[in-house]
Amino acid sequence: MSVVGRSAAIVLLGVGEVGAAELLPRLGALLATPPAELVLCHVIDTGVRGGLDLAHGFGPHRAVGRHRARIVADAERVEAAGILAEAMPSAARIATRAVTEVGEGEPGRAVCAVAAERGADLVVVGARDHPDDRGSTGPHSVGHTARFVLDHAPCPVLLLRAAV
Amino acid sequence: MPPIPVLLVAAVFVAALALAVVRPWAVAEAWWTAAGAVLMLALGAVGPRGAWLALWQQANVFLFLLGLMCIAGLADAAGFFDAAGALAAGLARGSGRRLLVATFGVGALLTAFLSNDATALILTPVVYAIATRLRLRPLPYLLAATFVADTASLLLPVSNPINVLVGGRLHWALGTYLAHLLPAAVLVVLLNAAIFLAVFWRETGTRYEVDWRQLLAEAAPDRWHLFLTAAALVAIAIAYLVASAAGAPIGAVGCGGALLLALVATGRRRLDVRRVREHVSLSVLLYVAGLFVMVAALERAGVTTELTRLLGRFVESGPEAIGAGTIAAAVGSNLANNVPASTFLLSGSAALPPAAQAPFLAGVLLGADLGPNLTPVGSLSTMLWLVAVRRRGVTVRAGDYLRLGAVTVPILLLASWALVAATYRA
Repeated sequence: MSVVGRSAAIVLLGVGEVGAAELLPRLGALLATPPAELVLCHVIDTGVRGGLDLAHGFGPHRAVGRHRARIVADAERVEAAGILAEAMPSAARIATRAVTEVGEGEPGRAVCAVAAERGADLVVVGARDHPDDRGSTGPHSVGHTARFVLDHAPCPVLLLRAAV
Repeated sequence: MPPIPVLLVAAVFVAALALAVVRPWAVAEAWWTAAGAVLMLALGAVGPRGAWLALWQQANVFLFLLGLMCIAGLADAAGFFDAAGALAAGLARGSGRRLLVATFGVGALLTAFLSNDATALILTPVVYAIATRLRLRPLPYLLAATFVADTASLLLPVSNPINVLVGGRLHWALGTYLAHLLPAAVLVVLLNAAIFLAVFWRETGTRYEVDWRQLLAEAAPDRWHLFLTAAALVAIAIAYLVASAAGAPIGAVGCGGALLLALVATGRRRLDVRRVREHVSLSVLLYVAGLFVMVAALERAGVTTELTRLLGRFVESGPEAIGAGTIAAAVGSNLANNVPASTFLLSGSAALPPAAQAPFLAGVLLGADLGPNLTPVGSLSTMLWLVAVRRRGVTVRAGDYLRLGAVTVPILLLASWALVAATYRA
């Protein structure tokens, strides 16, 4: 069954930690015709890295050293590259052209920014990264990233819930 | 010189601490406590001789701090902490949950001998980076390393500079320290690991693949440097224990150990001064110095003894003394920082009946070592005041941390109090 009738030229898919393995085939099934360009966007959530600030040594607050900060950033980039590399083969199957983009910052905000920048016709987000026992519907079924994108995206949004 | 009103002295102290917490204009805490100390001197609340005496009496603490920062920096430059992280990843054999437990184990061992400072500031980013590279959710591991730094800092007299500070008054032989505190220290680490395993059971349920030998090779490009550093660290650990047992100043041992590690690095021609300097922070020494002078002024004005005597009225037995010390230190650690809290209570403990002093100080150790994880005051205030209110992602993390601390810390404080109280009853 196809939902989006007109062929969307540029589709942006927000890829979380879990990856796009589950989302991509379902997206392909929903689109009437393959989009001209599918952008796989993974955002490095710097909020978690900000938790490093919570670690306190003795006495006054000291930030993580420059050397350490570089290693942390490198690790995040390696993870992002891995996630996107895994998703690319499936993405190439459902779109004419598939590209990757890595963003940094708060995930919802970054996805909207990339969508605006690239002039996306459609943004696709998963409801949650890890569906938990609170169920696939109801107020807890949509994570704060998806919610932000729903509220702020510059174009239509397709929300993919967990496969029931 | 007219007597300085007690309220004024107390007000300067509270203001200095409050400003150190809030850090307006991002001015470091050390400048606020130093300013407070200078103000106290200017007001005549403490004389130059009194101030100098307050600093000189704690020379061991300063040396110990300097030594431990240098040791941590030199060990880090040798890749010791990265190697420890790689070892943890290997030990866990692909299980996310086992990795959480391994983080606690490795973190506890490092804290025991290298102090909470090293674990919190060096191991935590190492664990975060490894978890990220292994495609695991990094938050549980980040929080585990953050918490174990404080939780495990009860294990040995050298595991936390606060232990050295309070130990200077307690004058406990190593055997006495271990008899009173080791059972509690081990229990809280196990409890903390168990609580985290339960809270993060689902998030850590993933498996991972790692070639830990590869990680190890990346951690230490020069294997001999790593090996010699590890051997030197073992020697330093033994020296710490011997010095504690003999009652010798461990500040000197710390500095000697730092020198040894620097020699090793120079011998391998891998002394990276810039990288070591990243971990040595002179502002810590200034912060502590400012506090010592201010508390000396408070002591002279009678503030510390009066307040502690107030506490002492509720104290009738050993276990109650421990409880009073624990609660006072835990509350103070979360209002300001565990250094001013423990220095204040240390100074005031002289007002207590002699029999109650040692258990009270033991309680202060519990509260000051374990208490700080309840609320991340220093960093939370910064985040809240500058950035986090707007960035929801960061606020969520702070909320997670607060909830976790609110659950974990009271349990740990209660359990440790119970075990230490038992050693006094026996």
